[in-house]
Amino acid sequence: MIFITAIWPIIINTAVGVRNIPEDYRNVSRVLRLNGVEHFVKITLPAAAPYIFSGLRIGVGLSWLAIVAAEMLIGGVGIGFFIWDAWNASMISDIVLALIYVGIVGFILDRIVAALGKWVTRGTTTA
Amino acid sequence: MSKHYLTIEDVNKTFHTGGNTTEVLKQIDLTIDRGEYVSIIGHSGCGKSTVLNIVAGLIPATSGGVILDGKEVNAPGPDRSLVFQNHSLLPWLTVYENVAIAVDKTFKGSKTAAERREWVLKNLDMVNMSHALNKRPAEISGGMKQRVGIARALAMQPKVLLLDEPFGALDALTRAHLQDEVMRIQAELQNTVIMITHDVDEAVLLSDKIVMMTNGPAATVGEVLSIDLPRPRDRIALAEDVRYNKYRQAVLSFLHEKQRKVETLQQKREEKDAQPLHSAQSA
Repeated sequence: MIFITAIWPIIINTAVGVRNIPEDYRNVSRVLRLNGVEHFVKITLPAAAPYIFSGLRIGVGLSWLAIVAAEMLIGGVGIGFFIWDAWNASMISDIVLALIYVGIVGFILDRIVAALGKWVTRGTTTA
Repeated sequence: MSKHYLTIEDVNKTFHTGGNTTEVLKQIDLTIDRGEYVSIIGHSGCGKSTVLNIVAGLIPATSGGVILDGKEVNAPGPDRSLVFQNHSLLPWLTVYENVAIAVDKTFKGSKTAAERREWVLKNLDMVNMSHALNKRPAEISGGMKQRVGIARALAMQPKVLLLDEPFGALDALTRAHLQDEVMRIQAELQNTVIMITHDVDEAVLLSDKIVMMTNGPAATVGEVLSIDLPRPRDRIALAEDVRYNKYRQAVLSFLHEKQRKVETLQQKREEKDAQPLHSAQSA
């Protein structure tokens, strides 16, 4: 379920990225006579990489959200259950603490993916 | 069969968009000899780039054909390398890798890895870019990018080098510098070059032959002017040369008298005066 939540923004962003490859790059590839595989590895993937990573960032945020929600429903383990438990026990301060925790973890996950994307697509985005 | 190196024979090009047909090129005939430097000049929108793209094989001609060295052109290939107006280097590759991708693809079977590396370095050296091998295109200036683009095109050892307004996006000083560089390289390698340009001075300075195109739609070759100036040419000395100025004047007169793109204000005013007032308003 978490996978299904996260996959859509990644797919859609990748599709947009592939569609937005500048005509010039495709012409370069045609003049060089790159074949299908070479074109994909050397042109399509790097050109679409920034889009793929912005999709990944959204995907990571969504899946974190889905995980917390799932834990609330399933119960037994995790931060989601902790919030649910604290709510039932009327421990407001625990809930606030847990919410801050959820926010910080989500933020860190987002930063990690962003940094990874920045490293992989170095050079591309500034051109 | 003609004995020319490159022949463009009776090329027509029409574009279909929806129900409309636009005739862009009509009966383009052109012959180019080996080692010749040919410029195509004309107003924007007259189909210069279309001609070049047809020679490159990127778009097919509606009728007619291009013959290069005895073979018909019907697909893009490394024997006709293109330098684009906006350099079109791949931004995720370094300067070295951008040239290497072309060399590796073209000479995969015929050269060893060490020879290919040597060849990449030699071509980058020729355009004076050896100092920036590991920089990415985003880190170097526009003039430098264009040099790398030229190196990439030269490295494929093309039969004909196609330049699509190669200096169009550069400032005047960088442009002059690169023109000199291209002249030097051309003198050294004796390449066959087709260059598209808007710049009259550039055309006269660099070319052996200037092809002037008429205005579109249905553009065709208007005049062909042979430039008979000794090489190497020096832009400062030529500025006072009588023949140089004559050639310049010939191209200018073609572009601005015979093939005027926009009517002058004076003409417009006269036209307006000739019309009755109400129709002028409705127009």
